[in-house]
Formats: sequence, structure tokens, C-alpha cells
Amino acid sequence: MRKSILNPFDYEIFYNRLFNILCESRDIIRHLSGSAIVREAGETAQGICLPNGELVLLSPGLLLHLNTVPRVIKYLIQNKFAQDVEFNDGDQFLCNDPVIASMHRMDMVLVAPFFYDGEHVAWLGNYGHVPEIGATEPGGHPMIAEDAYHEGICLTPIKIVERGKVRRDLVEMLTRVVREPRLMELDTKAKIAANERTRKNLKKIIDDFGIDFYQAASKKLLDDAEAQSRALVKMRKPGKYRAQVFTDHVLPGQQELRVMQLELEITGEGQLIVRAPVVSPQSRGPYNACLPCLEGNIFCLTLSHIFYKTRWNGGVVRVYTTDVPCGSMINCDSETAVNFGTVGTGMHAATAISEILSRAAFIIGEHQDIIAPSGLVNQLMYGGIDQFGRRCGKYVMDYLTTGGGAKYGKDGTDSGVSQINPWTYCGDVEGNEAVGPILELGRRHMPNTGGFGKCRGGAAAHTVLMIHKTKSLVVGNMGQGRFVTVLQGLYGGYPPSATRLIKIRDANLADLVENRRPLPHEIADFVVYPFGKKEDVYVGAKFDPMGEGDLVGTIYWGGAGVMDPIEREPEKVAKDVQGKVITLEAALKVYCVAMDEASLAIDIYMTAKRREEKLRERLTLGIYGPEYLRKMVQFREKRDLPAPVLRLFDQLLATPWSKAFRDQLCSEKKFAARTEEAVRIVMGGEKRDILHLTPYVKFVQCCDGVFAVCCKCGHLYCNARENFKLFCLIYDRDPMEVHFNYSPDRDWMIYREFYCPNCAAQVEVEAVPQGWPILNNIELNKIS
Amino acid sequence: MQFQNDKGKCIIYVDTGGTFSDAVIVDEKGSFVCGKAATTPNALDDCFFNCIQDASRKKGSSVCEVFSHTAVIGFGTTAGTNALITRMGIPKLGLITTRGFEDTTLIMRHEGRWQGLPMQEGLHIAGSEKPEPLIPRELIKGVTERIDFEGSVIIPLYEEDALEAVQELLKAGVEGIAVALLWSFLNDVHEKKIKEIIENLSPGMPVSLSCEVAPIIREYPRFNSTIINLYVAKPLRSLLSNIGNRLQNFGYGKELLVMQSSGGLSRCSVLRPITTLHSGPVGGLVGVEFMKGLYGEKIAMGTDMGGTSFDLCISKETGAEYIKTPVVGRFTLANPMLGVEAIGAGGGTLAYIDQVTGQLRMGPESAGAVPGPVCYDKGGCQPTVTDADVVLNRIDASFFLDGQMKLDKQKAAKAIEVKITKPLKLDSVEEAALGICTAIDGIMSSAIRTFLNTKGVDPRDTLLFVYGGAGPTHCAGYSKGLGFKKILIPPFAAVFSAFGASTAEVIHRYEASPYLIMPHLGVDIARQRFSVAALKEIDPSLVLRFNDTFGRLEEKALKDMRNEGFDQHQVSIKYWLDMRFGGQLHEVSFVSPVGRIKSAKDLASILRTFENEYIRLYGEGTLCPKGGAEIITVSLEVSAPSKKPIIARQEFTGEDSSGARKGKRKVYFKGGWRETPIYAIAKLRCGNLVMGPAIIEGNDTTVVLPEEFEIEVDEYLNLELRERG
Repeated sequence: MRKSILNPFDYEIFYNRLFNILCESRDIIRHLSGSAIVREAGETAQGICLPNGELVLLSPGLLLHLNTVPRVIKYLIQNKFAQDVEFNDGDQFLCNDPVIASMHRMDMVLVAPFFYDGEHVAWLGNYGHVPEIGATEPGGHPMIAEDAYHEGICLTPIKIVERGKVRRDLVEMLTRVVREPRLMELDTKAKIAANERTRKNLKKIIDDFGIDFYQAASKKLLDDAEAQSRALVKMRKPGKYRAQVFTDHVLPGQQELRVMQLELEITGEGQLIVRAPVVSPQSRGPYNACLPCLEGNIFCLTLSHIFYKTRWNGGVVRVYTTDVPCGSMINCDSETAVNFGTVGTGMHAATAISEILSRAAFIIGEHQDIIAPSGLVNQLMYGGIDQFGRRCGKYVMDYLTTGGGAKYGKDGTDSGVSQINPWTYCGDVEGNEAVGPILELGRRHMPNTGGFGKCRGGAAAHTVLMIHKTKSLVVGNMGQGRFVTVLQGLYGGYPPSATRLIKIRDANLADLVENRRPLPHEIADFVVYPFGKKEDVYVGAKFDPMGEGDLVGTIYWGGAGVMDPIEREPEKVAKDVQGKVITLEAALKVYCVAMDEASLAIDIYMTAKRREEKLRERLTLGIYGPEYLRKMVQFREKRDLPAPVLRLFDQLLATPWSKAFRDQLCSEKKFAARTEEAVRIVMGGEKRDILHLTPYVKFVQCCDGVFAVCCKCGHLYCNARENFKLFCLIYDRDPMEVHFNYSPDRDWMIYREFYCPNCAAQVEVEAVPQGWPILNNIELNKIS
Repeated sequence: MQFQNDKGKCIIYVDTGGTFSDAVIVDEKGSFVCGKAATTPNALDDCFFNCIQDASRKKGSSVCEVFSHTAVIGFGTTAGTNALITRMGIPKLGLITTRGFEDTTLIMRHEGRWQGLPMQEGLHIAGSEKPEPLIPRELIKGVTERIDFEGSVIIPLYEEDALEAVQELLKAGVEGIAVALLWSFLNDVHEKKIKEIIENLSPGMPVSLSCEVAPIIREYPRFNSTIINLYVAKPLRSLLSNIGNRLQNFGYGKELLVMQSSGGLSRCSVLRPITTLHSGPVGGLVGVEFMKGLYGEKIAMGTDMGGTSFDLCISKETGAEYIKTPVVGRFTLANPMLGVEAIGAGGGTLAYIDQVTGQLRMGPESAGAVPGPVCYDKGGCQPTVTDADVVLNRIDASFFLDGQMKLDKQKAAKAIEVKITKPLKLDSVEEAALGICTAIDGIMSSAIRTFLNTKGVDPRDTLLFVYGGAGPTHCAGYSKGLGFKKILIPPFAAVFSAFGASTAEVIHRYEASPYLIMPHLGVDIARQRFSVAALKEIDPSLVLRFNDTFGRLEEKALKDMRNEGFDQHQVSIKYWLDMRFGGQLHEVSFVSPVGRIKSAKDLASILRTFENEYIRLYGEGTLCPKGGAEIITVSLEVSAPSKKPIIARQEFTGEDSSGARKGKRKVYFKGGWRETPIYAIAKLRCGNLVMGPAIIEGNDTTVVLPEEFEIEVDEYLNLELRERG
């Protein structure tokens, strides 16, 4: 049934056939793989590309790698591999170089030229996350990696299948250099088989539709996805949107404040331009991202945020332009370690984009697309000898029990959101224990992990496990966020709590069991644990030997909250306490809901009273923006700030791209110098709402111009061209008052709360280091 | 049709669907009648009897007369599924689990947000939520205990914990308690002890143990099954009891047989409620298996095109396969279901234009039963596949569902014109309607290709059965070019699933996860195959565990079959293994050549069967034997033949089909309107040949035969569809 013209009906059939064969190949990888992260978490996908490398279609799966296969192909083309290495029918090239494409070395990419009647008409490609890559520590995420040369085998594209024949010499080499040779062989064969299946099926499609149809329809799929994406972007208000995240990790035993401030410009033509005006430089250690990693995270997040109805392919990529400083922690060079880039640095940067896209959606009333940042990874890993006497190197899959960000009008999903793979799952405890020498003692929701807010961030779980039946095991953890919380709340909601990693050696659990005493099932139980040596270590932990019976506990990331917590209905707060996702302490101190400890009944009178007191407290403690800025400028000038903050300032001011940061400091200094009269404004005449900037702030037009006004009480903040946050009451809260035992350290981060000067609604919260410039989240091109 | 072994007796099978309930009665003369009644959701026993009454009326008998000649009554019920989906099960249940894992059914393995939702809804993280839990956190109690991956007790049960947990739940007023502990399928001592405590404290309290409901590895689906088995039990048992009582009033004294998702029937008294979930769609596959046997073929596939979905199933040499962890009502379960896969394509599939790209999109959204296609005139305004069929005159607007429902062709045409023809700048409404049909046929064809590929099946070896109300209308389109060995349309295609269920046997399936790890098996490096010379190459305890596991399952199976009324010599047993290479996490299921390992030859035959199945699924060069092999789960399927219809062979009457011609009308095919002969399916006789273009109409289905196709009626009166030339 050769199709001579691209009619709409055949085009729809064509899309379905292409999609089905990609799903079929994706399933082959999942079934044959030896990697839990592929089989359980689904970190794989299969794609088809144009001869120039642009992605025509990708199966569902790890959408983070939307641009990975294209990047490998473009590398092969640009470096003229065709001339000497040659592209022949049946060839397949394996690559895991993060700078070329793969983000970090565990992501192995396999691309294959596809020939039809002797003509090279397409590329096929897939990828999958291997569990071991032969780095300085097991599991592929060596936290002690100081540079790229500590991160295991790095393959620029090698021809591992030549004219249909697998190069056994290369496969043997690959299995020799890793700690899990069986799994490397399984995963390599899985990907080869998937490309072969795609090749066979694609040939049949072209036989049926004809090569002309195939080529035209492939290009059209790209063009259509681009058009759909642009149309969705154009719905947003053009302007510059900003958000930021802070982190605290360099190497085990070396923590430093680092920042990624991202700016997303939405143009009237439907283009998204990503910039990072203020960003820390790359550093020693694994917490950096190369450009493919940053882009992958951003593309993926945008898909689940606003492009979820499009057909995902290279057309989505076309609407993005990335312009971030080379040598920064999100665009590092090839010498730099990046193993914690994919689910660390890049993902953290993308959470800023999540905040930005939510803010942009709110302005145009697309409330269903609002979700506060979430989905970070904190991952236990181990390596050594398993319970069957085999070598092993694996992850504990519980890391996916992360909470989702709160939505507009709804709570975040407890333990069920991954930004990089929407259809993932974390597997079962029995699955973990069947393949590794561990015995879990608890996988429960951890109370207070979700960011507090009128809509609560989803709670995360935590894991407590015991080393079980092994002769030799080392245990490490990939994570950050002990001294800071990485995520930001939205519209006055709080961020989620920080994380922890605690180990107990010589735990002597048997003694407790023998005496029928309570056992440790959650990390809080470690505090009162009677035996052994406790170590409260930073979550980005190197691998340490642990013996049989030793205990490890860690907390995963919750989602951020949305809107002022004291607006949350007391009944929902009580339900949260019953459901053990928040504590009574949080109910009382953060939500100001008084409850009877035994019956959990709400005391309505006391709740109303506490909430009134909270509002009064805000009006008392909050400092009016201009005054707050004057003080903050003085602190900066006197360098009267905590040491980690001063080091961050110095670090940023020393970067080649420091101008934006200097400008921010300078602008605040100028603002602080403004007289009170210059700050005071009036608004007269008939008023008309123009847009809602946030749930608490709207733009109102009157004869004197356009102004930012409180939605709740009508308080006039400022001219709409100014940052309304500068005209709030502002208070630096110690995070300990919000997140208690698992809060950031106030020397590293405070919760800067912004209140309406009149009604005291908490309209924004910034989780920032003391003295950090106040961020202007939105600058619209047109406000009228 | 007649019945094997029991001449003079009827089989009745009743299937209660969401909108309608169907009854089929096959009587002693081999005739086959169907009855229909509106489903009565609040009293499902009413529609059970109403549809039998309708069928009896069509037979010209009273219900009492029919029952007095009935050998077997089978029942496929959605009561359990409905109770789960509409949350009408036991309202207050408690769960006792291993301390530290009280949130397992709330964490939902992370997958709860997207599982059971269409793919794009799952992608939209901000727009998707987990379902409300069946048991809230405050009614989930942890008890201190722990068993490890080998079944060893690492932490003994703190009985005082268990006592306290039970007391708290009883105080809270629960009406049933599920007990689900980690690794209990390997060692059930703690679950059994807790059950004892519950029975002591509250005799008669319904209890569900995970080691009994679904004794297989992976706790999340096992815990769900344990809870849901309890949750749906009350409404289901109440319904079955009502029906049983009313049957007795009619003088029918035998026990009702209930269809399970495993494709087998079970007596009410030994039925596990969880096994009835999603049992509806498996009737078609059971029918395909029956028909496969009738034709003496090894492989047969079924395609069921209904209003909202296109279901695909296959029966291979070793029979039908199972979906190991099906999803029902957004919960993943541990009770295997006969493998029926569905895509969103049916008569109600919506056709629409993407507003940005201006391109046609087909589904997967459906107009459903309400409002239904535009031509139903019940408020639908977006064109569907059925609307296109009506516009093309393939479906007679005045003869839909045996003339019981009049369709509005004008409205369908107008909708297609406005929503499809004009935006695509096509020349005519007919061109757009034809395009819609072509597109949906292509999508279904693509799904069949992928389905066959993933099953490792060559269509040239495969019989295709076409059924479902819309299947015969579109099968020429969706089977074209696929190269099936033979394509058959039963004359009763619209009720084929109910017919299929009437052929079901009494089947029970049992699972266990012995978790047999064999990391050091011999390997022939050059051939990349296992090479087992002696049984001593594996740990003798593994052989013992393998044999013991099947031994225990067999004992239980035979006991249940005795309760079903079958002796050991009447039952047949199939041994299934879920096996993988060392290091993998996905298992390949296959029928084991042996149920006991007694020699190296037995082990070698298991390994060989595994390798062959693996190659069939994934291709040569994919074997990885160096890491050894692992048998994770074993299943035992026990069945006993039930009364089955005999479809009598018909005498060849000649090619001339003119006796079945009932008229002609203009029908639109590729190339334009064609004066097309119309045939009555009921009047076609063995050997009759119908050349396309033609339409063959039955009471509730229409076969569309384009010009390049022909149909020959075979000796069982099934229509064999062939591409000409």
C-alpha cells in the first residue's frame, strides 16, 4: 500500500505504527535488562531520528533523554565518522560520554544508521541506565569523584555492532571494567536487540508506506510537534521569568553554598530562552552538569508541565534556546565530574523552570498546569558481595518515593512524583531484598517532609535498612540538601524539609529482639537507639564498609507547598496528622491548628486564636521592604553575614559572568537609598483588574497607571513595573521553626517570608541565604 | 450445537455488563439463543434472571422449562469490579502488616499516580492524583516481625503487638481484617498466628491472608489483592447467594459456576472473590481456545472490537498466557488474569482535528455509551467511527441492533462535514468518513502487528477470530496485509465472548514463589546455551524446594477440585514457570515440561524450554547464560472438562449464496458509491461464496466486504474472510 501523498488519514496511521514499534522495542530493553533502574524505574526509551539526527519520535520512558540520541548522531556526523569509521547497514555505535550526550556515564546510548534500499534514511537509537560503570566507587555515582577521570569508563561512540555482528572483543572489554559484568552484558544485549527489532519493524513500515511518504511524514511529525509547542508557549505572557535554587554540596566532607538562578524568557514568537544570569562555577566533585544534562532536564520537565498533549520529539527541542555560561555548574567542561548531574545539578536547575512555568501558567489562568517544585533524588547505593556470593553494585530503589509539589487548589501527591520519568515506579521491598544483601526495617512516609502550605507538598518516604547476609559491602549515598533545602515553595508555601543520612554500626539488633524491645523503623528511632556507633553523615556520602547487622537510614525529598499555610482548612490539617504525614507539632506551630493530642479533635476556638496571633506576629516581626533592604545592604557592606554566605558571594563575584549578580546587588543598594517619598505611591480614579500575577497579587489599572495590589485586602504595593516583594513586610525566619529536626541550617539558609503589610497574608517565601538579593520573579514585556 | 457427554441438557451463560446483561442458552438441539436485558446495578440478580427470561422467550420456553433442562449455569459478573471502582465494598476494613511498612499501600510503589490512567494523563504530573486508599492510614497497624528473602524468621512476631493491633482495629469497628506481611509467601507462620489471634478475639470476623490470596513475590500487588479480596467479598457473596436462592426457587438445585479472570469457572463455594475481577473480557479468549481446538490449529488470535476498546488475545501451542499483575481500578493486583490486552479503538472512538497542526487525530478518547456517537442522537457532537460507518451506508441506519435503535444519519454526516471534511478541505463527507474508517483500521492493524511481535508469533501460523459488535464491520480493513493463516468471523460475533465463556472449563490456578537461584550452571560458551551434565551442579535444596512447591500446590489443587466434584483422574495439570537469567528482573513465563526435577535431564529440559521461549520472544543472540538462571514464581493450573457445546458440521450446499440475498443498497467504498448486495447472515449456508463488494447483516452486527475481499462459509457456518487474488 504505497502512499504517494501525505494524506491526513495515512499520516495518523503512520504515527500509530511508529509509536507502537518504539514501545515494542522499549519493552525489549526493559525485559532483557539487568538494571533495576531500567526494569523497575523504566529509565530507558527507544527513538527514531532523521538522517540529520533530529528526533522523529521517542517511546514513552525516560523522557529526560529526549535529546540524547540526537546528540550522539550529530556528534558522529559533525566529526565525520562516515569518512573512515563508516556507517553501514547493521552497524550500532555505543556512547556514554556525558559531554557528547549521555548526561552521566551510567546512561549508555546506542545508535544505529538505518538503510533502506541502500540509502541511509534514518537513525535508530536507545539508551538505558546501567547499574555499574567501573568508577572509583560502586554503583556509578562516586561521590568522591573529584574529576571526570574518577567516573569510570567513558566511551565516545564506538562501533559495537558491525554490519549486524556484535563485536565480542568490545563486549568482553566492557564487562571486564565494571563490577557487575553480568548486568553489563545483559544491558548491552538488550539495547542491541531493541535497535534490531526497530530496524526490522521500520523496514516493514517503509515497505508499506513507501520511502517518500516515510520521509515526508517523519519531517512533518517534527514540524507538527514544534507548531504545537510554540502555540502553547505563545499562550503565555511574553516576558522574563526567574527562579532560583541553592545547594550545599561539593564533595563528601566539603560542603559549600552554590546557586543556580535561572531566567526563562518567553518570546512573542513562542521561543523559550533559558539563561542563568547568576550561577556558581563548576567545581571539583560530582555535583555539576554538562549542557546536555541541563537541557534534558528542562525539556523533560516542560513536557510534563505544558507540552503533555503534544507528540514528543525534536520539535519540542526547537522551541528552546539555551544560553548559560560555559564553566558554570550547569554547563561544565569535559574534565569535570558530573555523575550527580542528571538527578542532581540538572534536575535541581529544572525545578527552577518548574516554578517559572507554574508562575507563567497562573497569569493566564491555566491553573491545571501549576505544580510547585518536586521530585529530587536522594539515593542509597551499595556494592560488594551479595547474599549469593556474587559481585554486586546497586541502588536501593526506594529513592523514588519522593513527594510531588502542591498544586493550585490541591495537595501534592505523596510519594509518587518523578519529574524525569512520569511513568516510573520504585519496585517492591521484596524486590530490593531479592537481589541485594539488605533487609529493610521501614519504608514509611516521613512526617513533615512535604512543604507546608494551604496546599501541602506531597510527603516523601524514608528508608531504614539493615545490612543482611553479606561478607563484604560498602554503602554510599548520592544526595545533597543537609544545610539547605533545594526546592522553593510557591506563593507563600514553604519548601520541603532537608534530608539526612544516619548510619549505626554494631547495632546489635538481636539484643533488642531478644528482649522484645522496640526496633528502629524510621530515622527518628535512631535518635534513641541504645546501641552502637551513630554517624550523622552528609547525604552526599562516600562509600564506607558496613558489616552485617549495621543500620542505615535516610530521608527522601518531599514536594514544595503552595500558598499561606494558615489558610489551610483545619480539617485537612487534622487528616494529615491522622495520616502521619505531618506531626502535631507542625499542625500547631506552622498551621496554627490546635488539636487534642489523644483524640486529634480540632479545638476551633484555639485554632482561630492562634491564627490571629500568627497574623499579628507577622505584622510585628515583618520589616517593610525598603527598610529591610537598607539593613541587608548594611550587612553586606560590613560582611556581617555567615561564613558560608560570604564564601558564596565571593565565589560569584569572581566568576567571569558576575555582572548580573553585581547588578542585582547594586540595584538593591540604589533601592535602599531611595527616600520614603519616592517609595510612597497613590492610586486614584476608576480601577480595572488587568491580570492576577499570583493568587495574592493582581495588577490593577487606573488613571495613574498600573499597580500591584493585594487580592485579599486591596492593599496597594507598588507600580506594576516594580517588584512587589520589595514593598512587603519581610521577615527572615529560622528554618528550625518550620522544619524542626530536619530543617536547613540558618547560617546557610533562612526562610525569607513576605507578608502583605495590611492583611498579613504570607504571599511569598524565599528559601535563601541571609543577605541574598530579593528575586524579581516576573518581568512581563507588557503589563497593560 | 450439542453438548459433549450430556445430551439433552442446556448450558446457560450470563454476562452482566455495564449497560446490558446477556444470556446465551445452548439447547439440546444445538440451537443458540441470546437474551438481553438492561443491567440493574442496584439488584444485579434481577438482570441475571431478566436476560435469561428474554432468551427463554426467544426460545419459546418458560424460564422454568429451560432451567429444568439445564446442566450448567455459568455467570460472569462485574459485581466485584464494580464494588471496587464505585467504592461500594466493605466500607471499614483494617490492615495488619509488618511494622515499618504501614504505608506500603499508600506509597503504592510510586506508581499509584499514573497506573491505570491513559498515558498522556500520566505524563501531566500536575493533573494526576493517586486514588483514595481502600484502607486509610489510621486503620493500618504495624506489628513487629520480619521474615527475610529465604523465609527465615529474622524478627519473631511480637504477639503482644499483634494482640494490640487487633484490639485497636476491633475497637475502631472494622468489618474485616486483611493481614499482609513481608515475605509471608515463603513463610506464613506469622500471618497464620495473627489470624488465630483475630479468631480468638472476634470469632467470625472476615480475615484475608496474603499467603493464601496471592502467595507470590512483590508485596505491593500481593497486599492489594489481600485487601481487595476482602473488600469485594460481601457484595459479591450477597449477589451470588441471592441468585442461588432464586435458582432454587425455580427448581434448579446445582451450584452456580462463576467465571474467573483466569478463564475458568469456579463453584461459588470455593470461589476467591478477587479472581472474579475483570473476568468479563476473558470469555472471548476462552472461546478462541475452544474454536482453535475445533479447527485443530495450534495458534489462534482473537480481536474484539466494541464501542470503546479493541481487545487482543492469543492462544498459543501451550494455551493462553496470563497477565501476571493486572491493573484493576488503578490498583495493581497479584492475581494473574488471562491475557487480554486493550487499546483505545472502537466504534465510539472520536475523530477530531488538532487545532494547532490541523491534522486528524483518532482517539483514544471515546464517546462511550453516553452520549455515544452523533448518530445515536443522545447529545454526542464529535464524529466517531460508527458515525463514519453510518454515513458510508455500511451500517444500515434503520437496521441497527436488529432494528431496535434508529440512527440519525443526517446528524452524523453533518458532524463529519463540519468537524472533519471542512477543516481538512476534503471534497466530500464520504471521503472524510472513509478516511476515518481507514485510519481506525490502520491503528488497529498496527496494534495487531505489535501484539504478535511481542508474543513471538507469526501470523502465517495463526488463525484470527473476529468478534465484538464492530469487529466484522472493520476486520477487512484491520486484517488486510497481515497474512493470517485464516480469518474467521463467527455468525454470532457480537455475543462471541458470552458464547466463549459458556465453553469454559473448571479451572483453578495457584502460584508460589520458591525463588530458586542457580548462579553457577554450566555454559556452552560457543553456543551461548546452558549445558547441564549432572544434577549436582545445582544446590540439592533448590531441587527439593522446586519439587516441594509443586507438590504443595498440587495437593491444594486436587483438594479444591475434589470440592468441585472432580476426582484426580478427571483433572489435568499444567506447570508454569516464571524464569529469568541471573541478574535480570523480568521473567519469561512458559509451560514447564516437568512438574518435578528428578534428573539432570529434567533440569536440562526446563532450561532448554526457557531458552527457546526467550529466543522466540527476543531473537537469536540475546541469551545471557553466564549469570545462571533463576526460577522466581511457579504456577500450577488445574482444570477439568465441563459440559461443552458441540458445533455440528454442516453439509456443503454449494457456492451459490443467492438464497441469503436480502436486497441491495448504495454503499461507499474506496472509489465511490457502489450498488452493493446485502446478505442475511442467518441464511448463509456451508460453502456459500460472497464476493465483495457486499454487506452481510446479522441481528447485531454487520460484515463489510470491500471489493478486494471474498467470504466463504465453512462447515461450522463461520465466515472465512479472504483477500482476493
